[in-house]
Amino acid sequence: MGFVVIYIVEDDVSVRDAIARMFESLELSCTAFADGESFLSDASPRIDDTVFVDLHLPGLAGSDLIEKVAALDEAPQIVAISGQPLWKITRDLPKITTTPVVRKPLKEQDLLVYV
Amino acid sequence: MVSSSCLHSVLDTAVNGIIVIDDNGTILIYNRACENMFGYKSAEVVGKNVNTLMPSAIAKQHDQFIRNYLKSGDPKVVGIGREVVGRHKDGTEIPIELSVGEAQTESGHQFIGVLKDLRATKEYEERLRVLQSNLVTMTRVNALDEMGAAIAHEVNQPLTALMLYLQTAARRARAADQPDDPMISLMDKAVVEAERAGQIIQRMRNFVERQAPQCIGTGLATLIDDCLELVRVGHEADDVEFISTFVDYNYQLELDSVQIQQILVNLIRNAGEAVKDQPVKQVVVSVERDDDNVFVKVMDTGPGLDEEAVSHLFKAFTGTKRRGLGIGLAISRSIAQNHGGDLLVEPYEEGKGATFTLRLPVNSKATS
Repeated sequence: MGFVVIYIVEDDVSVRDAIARMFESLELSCTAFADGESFLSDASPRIDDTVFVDLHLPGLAGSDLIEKVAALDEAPQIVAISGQPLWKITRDLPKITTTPVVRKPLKEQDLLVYV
Repeated sequence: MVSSSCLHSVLDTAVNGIIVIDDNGTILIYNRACENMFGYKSAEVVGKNVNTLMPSAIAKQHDQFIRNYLKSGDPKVVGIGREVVGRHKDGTEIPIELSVGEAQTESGHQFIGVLKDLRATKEYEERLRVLQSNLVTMTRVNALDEMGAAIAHEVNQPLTALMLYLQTAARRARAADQPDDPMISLMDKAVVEAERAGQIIQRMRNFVERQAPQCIGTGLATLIDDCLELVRVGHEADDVEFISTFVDYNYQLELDSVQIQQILVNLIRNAGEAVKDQPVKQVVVSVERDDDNVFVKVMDTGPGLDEEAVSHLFKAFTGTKRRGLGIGLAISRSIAQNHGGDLLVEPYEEGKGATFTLRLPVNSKATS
């Protein structure tokens, strides 16, 4: 098994930085993106990797990004993050995948169970 | 002299009920409009006491009312008129507007009652009242929800960052060569407090979540008609024409009717305000459909909205109206979006009024 990477796609700059710092302090390799478009063009996630996706993204919606990533060959594990009310989350999340959702505000334990 | 047959045809032509009684309360004349109103045929009640046509509580006292009046001459209804309650043959109570006159005839003192059936008017007023109070409640609830949701969402982000920074810092402090225990203890306390703030946000969010749209199949044409009716009430004085061109009364859509009504009433009311001082005062609601969406358009013959106005339109608290908070369109849009739809304004066209388009998905997934 190779080197595992954690990806974060989150538009809020301080949330993105805080998550990245947290993983770095645990000596996990972590790359962060501000939107779905830059993630798709620059990242090449593999099956052992984990991608945290905020559902509320500018441009390409979080749910669409999740659908695209889930459709990859050897798709990585995907975890959705959202600060929205539950009914909006269930409405927005693609029905086909069984993506776990972590709701904001969150603690490090909420994220660490997935890595 | 008018012949008796002529008099009877006059009585039977009258739209209002007409009853003539003698001073004992015995019915002498009972016209055709009364037959429809009370369900009794003329032959069934003529010669009986008029209290047959009243609910029992009043029926018991009616003879006394007549005696009191004859004795004191102090009128309670004669020459004044009032709203009273009658009783139909099947027992249901009927709201009636009653005016009473009197006449001295050869055969004694007689009272003539003219009765207007208020059932239709009452039902209509009641329906409007319910619609209006629903709307008022919903507007308040939605304004609160919007604020709650906005605060919850906005505070969520910095709170999430704060919590993760603190936890990371605390872990680094623990991993140091010579751990600073008082410092670690302070950080742990800070984490607990951040957690507490998070729980408050969660409670707030749970409250907001209860307000998810309750979508049920609703007749769109009827819903639009109801909205127009509600707005017309406020525009009786000025001759604004409110029209719906959508007449497919079988067409059903999954939506939260009170919330959608709130959007449409808001749009139609704004449109009505916009045309008030125009030569042509017209507000038209139309519906267009494609495979995925229904578009409800509210068009007016007002001055239209220029780009500058449009740019502020959907922001809360920027309204230019003296009344209201300018929160109407902001909330309307967020309700539409909660339904999986949207609220848009068509671009400005010289010489044309404003057009707002409410888009609703055909298979709304906005149920919780």
